[in-house]
Amino acid sequence: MSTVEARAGAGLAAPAIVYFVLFWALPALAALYLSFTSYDLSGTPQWVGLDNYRQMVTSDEFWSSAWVTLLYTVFAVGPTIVIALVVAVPLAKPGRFRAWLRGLIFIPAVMPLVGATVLWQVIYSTGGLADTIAQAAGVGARPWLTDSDYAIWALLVMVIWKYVGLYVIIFVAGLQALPANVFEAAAIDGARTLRTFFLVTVPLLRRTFTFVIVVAVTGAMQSFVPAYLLTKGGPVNATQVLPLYLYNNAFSYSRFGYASAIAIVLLVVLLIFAFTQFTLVRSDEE
Amino acid sequence: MTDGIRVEQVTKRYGNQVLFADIDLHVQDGEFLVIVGPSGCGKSTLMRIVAGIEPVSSGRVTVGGRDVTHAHPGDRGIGMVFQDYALYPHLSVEGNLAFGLRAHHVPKDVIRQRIADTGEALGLTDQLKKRPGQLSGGQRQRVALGRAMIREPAAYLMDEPLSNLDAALRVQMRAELIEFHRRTKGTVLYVTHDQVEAMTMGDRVAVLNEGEFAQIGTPTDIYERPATVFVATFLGSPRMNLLGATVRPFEEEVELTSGELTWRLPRKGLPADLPESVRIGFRPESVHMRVDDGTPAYPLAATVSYRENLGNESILHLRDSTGRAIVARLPPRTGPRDGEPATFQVPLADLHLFGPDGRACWHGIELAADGQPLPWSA
Amino acid sequence: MSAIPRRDLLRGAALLTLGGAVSQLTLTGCGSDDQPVGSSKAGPQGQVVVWMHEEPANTKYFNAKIAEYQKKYPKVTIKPLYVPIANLDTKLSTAFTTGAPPDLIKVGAWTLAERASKGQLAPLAPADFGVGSLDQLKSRFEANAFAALTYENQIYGTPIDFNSVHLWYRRDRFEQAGLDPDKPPTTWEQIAEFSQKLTNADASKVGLQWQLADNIWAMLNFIPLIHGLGGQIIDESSRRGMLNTPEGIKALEYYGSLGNPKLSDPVGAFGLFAKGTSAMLMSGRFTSSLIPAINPEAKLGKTFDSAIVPSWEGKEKVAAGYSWGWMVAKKAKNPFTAWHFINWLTEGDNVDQQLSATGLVTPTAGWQKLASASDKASQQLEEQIPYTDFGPVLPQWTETIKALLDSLESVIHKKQDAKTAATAFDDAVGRILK
Ligand SMILES: Nc1ncnc2c1ncn2[C@@H]1O[C@H](COP(=O)(O)OP(=O)(O)O)[C@@H](O)[C@H]1O
Ligand SMILES: [Mg+2]
Repeated sequence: MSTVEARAGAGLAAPAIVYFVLFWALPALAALYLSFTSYDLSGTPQWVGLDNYRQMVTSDEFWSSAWVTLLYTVFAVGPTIVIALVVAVPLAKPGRFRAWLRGLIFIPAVMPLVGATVLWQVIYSTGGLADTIAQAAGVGARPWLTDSDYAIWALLVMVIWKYVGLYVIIFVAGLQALPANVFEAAAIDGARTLRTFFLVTVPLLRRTFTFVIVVAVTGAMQSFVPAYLLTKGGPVNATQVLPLYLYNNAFSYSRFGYASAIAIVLLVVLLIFAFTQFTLVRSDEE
Repeated sequence: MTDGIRVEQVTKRYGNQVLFADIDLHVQDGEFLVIVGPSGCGKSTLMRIVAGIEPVSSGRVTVGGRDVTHAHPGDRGIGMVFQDYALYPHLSVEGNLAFGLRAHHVPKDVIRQRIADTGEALGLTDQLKKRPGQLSGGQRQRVALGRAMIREPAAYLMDEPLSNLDAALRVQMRAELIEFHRRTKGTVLYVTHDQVEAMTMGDRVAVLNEGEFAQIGTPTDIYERPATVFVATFLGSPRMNLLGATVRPFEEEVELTSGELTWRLPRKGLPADLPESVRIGFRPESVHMRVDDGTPAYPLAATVSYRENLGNESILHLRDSTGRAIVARLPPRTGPRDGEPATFQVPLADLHLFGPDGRACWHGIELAADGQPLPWSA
Repeated sequence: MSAIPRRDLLRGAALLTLGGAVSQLTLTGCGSDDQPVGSSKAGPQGQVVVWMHEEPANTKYFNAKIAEYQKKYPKVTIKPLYVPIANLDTKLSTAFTTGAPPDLIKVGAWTLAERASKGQLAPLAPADFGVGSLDQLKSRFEANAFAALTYENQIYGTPIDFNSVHLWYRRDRFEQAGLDPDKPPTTWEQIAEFSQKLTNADASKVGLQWQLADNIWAMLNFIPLIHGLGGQIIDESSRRGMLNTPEGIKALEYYGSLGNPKLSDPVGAFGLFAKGTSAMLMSGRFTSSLIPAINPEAKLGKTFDSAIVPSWEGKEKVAAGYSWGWMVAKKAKNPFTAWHFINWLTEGDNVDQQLSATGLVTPTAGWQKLASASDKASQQLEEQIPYTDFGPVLPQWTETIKALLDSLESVIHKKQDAKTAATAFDDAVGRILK
């Protein structure tokens, strides 16, 4: 490569590098540094070595939050993706009625979360819609938000409802970009709905899947606002996801060192996850 | 399987737009039938109706004598080859070939055997493990053909399968497809907008235009006896010359006058109700340099506007004394130069007459068929 | 570019990371130009930036008062910023950290210790109030008014929205249960007894329902129980949790024995009470207007009523209270004018106007004699003030009370017995305050 080309390349990459350093590397390094300190935003961070990490691994609340986050991530992402895909396949076909339905299913995604949460609090309140439906289904009324065994699932239902439309739209876009001829060829080859779905649609959507899974998992693992708004993490911390635990430590308890340690752990987990995903896709494309 | 493909009284509408109404087509068993027509005329749609990917608005489709109008595409006993191959990009060549067999629950060892056979027949044996993305255009088209063949269908549907290939490969694949048909004796319905393919590949050619078949016949038939002005001008390059003419009885003959040109035809063999105003058609290759050998002839005086020397032939763009454009195709390095006046002639036997409705009323070749002496023959 | 001190960069970066991870934080810098500074000699002048939470009635009243004040003191500009209540503390912390806080803030007194310990607040100076000593200032207010605003013997704020928690009960539910609505329970023992009578078979209707799942309200409901028994939540001198004591455990057990934690309502215990699902509620003076706002069929004096906080049989009464406070940032450019404005808000009939317009009590001496304080709840509040406790004043208040909430919740949700929950709290306090 000539010097001119090298310089031009560096010039073109500069904005990306600046962005990376300024908004990613620098904050990540700062958080890494702070995770070894005790810091309440006043005064100077005090170096405490591995104290924060030691406290983290011995804290029941941390592990309970980590478990809640795992549940939350798996059971938000899994059903969301399955539902979104199953809904997207019929909705991806052309037609005005379908376009209208696509708009409809997207409404929760654009609703302000605060408003949506109030709506769900009403639905889940004693004698509310959720009770009515459960009674009609023969399950009977349940303390949806006020029992630690139900609250996480109630939260998940709201979260899935809120975001499934977004993923429907992503899948619809992905599906519409697929070559129609391949599906026609599959039909002529004798494949019916299910075979086509599993052997053609799903593999062809591989890139969309990777994108959706990475976005959904990283989103779920960082999400704390729904839990914060719907249940405040309760009852008895049953819905205190790790990011909410982090948020509380940072912004309610001013324990920025400890919060940074949690952030670093989250960051590492997310990076490992995203890296694995993209590596899988790349090896698949060989 | 003895009946090929039948399309009976099929109508296709998109909303209010009628693409074709009540059309019929019969592809005989073992026949290679080419549908040709301008793009957008509904060739693909008709083929997709046969395949079952597109529903009919009304009418009936049979394959191998079986009514498949409402059958699933996979149950029609057809194999289809698409213009852009439509291979499964995530499956290997093997996977592509096996897909349909697996869908039909063909036993594993049978599948293995057929993949080996098909791979060998199409020269794909070394490519079986590759993905479509790693193949050349020609190889992909062979895989597409293999995928259609491997299920041993009653009929093949091919929708412009060669149009994505470059010129050289197209010629090669054309030959391969002809060879394929000769070998398999399969029933083939083939769609193209390329007249060379139509003329060279088809046992019969069906010319589709504006929602109906203008003509269905052998390539020779279609070329020599075009049923309409459309067929006459659509096939053949450069296209047939068309000149307005008037018809007048002249003694025992009929006189055709077009500007300064005049022909006299024997009345016998002409339709009795020949309209007064017709169009005369003759192909560029029917325009010859005038040879003054004493035989009666009909001179055509014209000036060369410009000529295209194609090496194996020359295309001359002429203008006659009344300013009408006429195209002639001559052997290379013959004829006048640009701007030079010259005299040409067109044999009677090469003339076609079309009525005001665009339908042919007479073809000069009838004269030859009648065994009549030609007033002027080459 | 001039060198930015390393620490500032780190701070900014730390906020960015956490903000990125939690995604909702907005960074706000708020540079203020140098303004002429007021003093007792020069009089009030210049600009005062004040932040408080958004609440329609209060915003309207406050804007009107600013206009009135600026008319009277034309050299002053008061610039208010109304922040949604959920964002106020975070926004303030950010502003203090980036070194550009507002001059004047109105926040819950329970956050005062943390801000004071971080050196964010300026202690009150007699000169700013035109008094010789702080005792003189205090004498203008109710006796207990500064209890929640004092940290390590220094006063950092003046009280606003001062409240003591008392008993609210449904007259209609009492009547249905055959209880005399004119004789509300006066002891915790009676409350338990009444609650039993007011609770139906499947506990879909209950007697007293605590205010669950909320830090400050959990504390306000629990203080009368434990303090009334002579115990305490935290021993502030030894900085130890005190739940694992006979008083603490008895209070926890009692707390866990009332109400039904599985009842759910979008506005929590207020909603349950407004609908009559629960028949008793421990809450503040504002309840009289809040309940009809939730359920227009509930009428004060007819459907529901209020009474003094109960006590344990044979024991002293203890009430729990909270206050908000006006506080001035240590970095404020114009503390004199800020305090001048706050002082003015307590003068003339401003306290009366404020109470009737916004329902917020400023506990100036004799406030209870104002026309707007003639209602029963105001009088009960006044009566309770001498024995009202405001809870621990700690920089780690939020974390400590969250630990208390965790223990209260695990007892009432039957996840832990009182003893285990008490120990867990005391352990947590040991970690937090170490
Ligand atoms: N789904 C459809 N809706 C409306 N019009 C269509 C649709 N599919 C094809 N057409 C129209 O039908 C006509 C024939 O299309 P096609 O069969 O693809 O033509 P060809 O293959 O001869 O080029 C075109 O004018 C096209 O616009
Ligand atoms: Mg086509």
